[in-house]
Amino acid sequence: MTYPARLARGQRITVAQQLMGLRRACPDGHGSIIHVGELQWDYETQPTPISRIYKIRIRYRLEKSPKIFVISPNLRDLADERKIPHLYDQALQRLCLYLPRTGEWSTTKWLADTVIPWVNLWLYYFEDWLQTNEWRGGGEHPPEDQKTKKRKRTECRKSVRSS
Amino acid sequence: MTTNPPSFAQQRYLSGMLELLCQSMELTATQYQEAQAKYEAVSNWLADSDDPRLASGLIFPQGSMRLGTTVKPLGRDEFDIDLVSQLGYAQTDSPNEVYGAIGSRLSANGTYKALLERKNRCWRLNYAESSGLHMDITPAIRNVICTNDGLLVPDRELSDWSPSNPAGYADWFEERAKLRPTMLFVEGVTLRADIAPLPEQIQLKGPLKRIVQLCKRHRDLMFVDDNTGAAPISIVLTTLAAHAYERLARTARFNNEYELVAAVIRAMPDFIKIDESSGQPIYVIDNPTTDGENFAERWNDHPERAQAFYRWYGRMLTDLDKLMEVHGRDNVVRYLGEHIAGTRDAGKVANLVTDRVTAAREKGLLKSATVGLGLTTGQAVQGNTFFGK
Repeated sequence: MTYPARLARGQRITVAQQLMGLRRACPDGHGSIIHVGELQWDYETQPTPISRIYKIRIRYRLEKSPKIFVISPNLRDLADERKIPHLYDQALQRLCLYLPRTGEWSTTKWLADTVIPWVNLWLYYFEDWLQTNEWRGGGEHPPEDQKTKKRKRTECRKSVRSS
Repeated sequence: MTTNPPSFAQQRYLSGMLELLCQSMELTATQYQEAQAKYEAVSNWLADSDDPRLASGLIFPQGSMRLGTTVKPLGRDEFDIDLVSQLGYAQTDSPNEVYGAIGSRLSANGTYKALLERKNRCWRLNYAESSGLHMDITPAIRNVICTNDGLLVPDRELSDWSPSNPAGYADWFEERAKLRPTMLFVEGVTLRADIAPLPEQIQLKGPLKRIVQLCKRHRDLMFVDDNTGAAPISIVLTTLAAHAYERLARTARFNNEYELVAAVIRAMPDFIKIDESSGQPIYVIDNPTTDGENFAERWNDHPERAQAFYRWYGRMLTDLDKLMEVHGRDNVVRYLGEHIAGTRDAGKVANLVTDRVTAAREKGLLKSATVGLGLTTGQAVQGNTFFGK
């Protein structure tokens, strides 16, 4: 799905267009272009109807990776001293949603079609992890040693690609 | 912390979870078939007897297996089947003689002899531990004065006969179970053959039977440490739920099945007759299919049993109400385990749902909306790999 239609395939999507897409995907959210070429979008979501309501913030600067934060609740309180999997930053509660440089995300993709559903998926497996202590959403961990050239793939690797 | 009002989507999701819990706590198809085969074998053995009372008799299941309301005991892979062995030509025999006739026939078979245990009102066959099966065989004779083809079964002390009507009761229950209450919002849920449904798409398979199972499991959980025998007996829960369900199915309308479950349970005590004319309450829950069987009989010489019923009733309603106030799937699963269904089945169902979400994701069939992941509405979830430490 493309939000403003008639966008050529493979064409880079502008920040203003992304904002329009987000407004259609989550009309209850709100956001704006905060700097030239950078948007911020806040919205609320639930991974299931029995879940908590999570407040999410997306910061996206063109040509950079979109940054996704959980504003509330405090995930560390929920995790009760356990280290939360698949976070770039435990304190900032920044979610790791996709594998960089693999095309899962690119500037030709819509945030509303990729990141927004992935946030729900992350939150689903997070609540599942809270209950079972097991991350069942698969994924990869970055290399522990930054000097290692080859990317180490941990045992839990499970890349899910749908067509 | 953010709280949200009980929502329609939440209730629908929860009733889907309750259905999965009931599926998890009942006999599996394999266990059911195994029980069936064993029951037929016993049945044949009794019928092949030289004793004309047995040879002309009938053996048939009664209780939860016949009603479709089985619930496995908490935390154990065991189950009971209740059979009635109705003897012919035995109208003048005492309960003791009838009981003895069944016992001696069973003892004449080496296999059964080794499994046989004498119980208060019935014979019990304890099958190999691996199967976890107990079969209780209650003797019975035809009740010639009952107009509903009722039976007589030994009373508690085997000294006399009491009226009962297991087959008639099963028909009565089944008639009520067939009723379908009016739902205000019926959503066309199309299930795909290639993907297992998620809770918001799952409807209660036979709401009355599911309600009875939930009541029984909640009772088991609440009285797990109580060995005084005060816990409300299954036939009381089943009968009251069937009456309440019938009335509501004929008169009320519901937004969703969760509302229905709570409303049926709320109405259950309306069908207990209480006679206070003697100063002390006399409780009556009539067997609707035969005269003279009061399912609440024991409440009248053990008032604490009546109290236990009302305590259970209050707790069940509160637990269902509070479930709506629990947020966070992890908290809901924990709550279902501790208060409604037992931790084992709650954990099993939670895992099952996650497996289904993962399977849908892998097939590219998962969708996402701000009210949650699902299979029917929202944006398709594209492939991704969670990254990061």
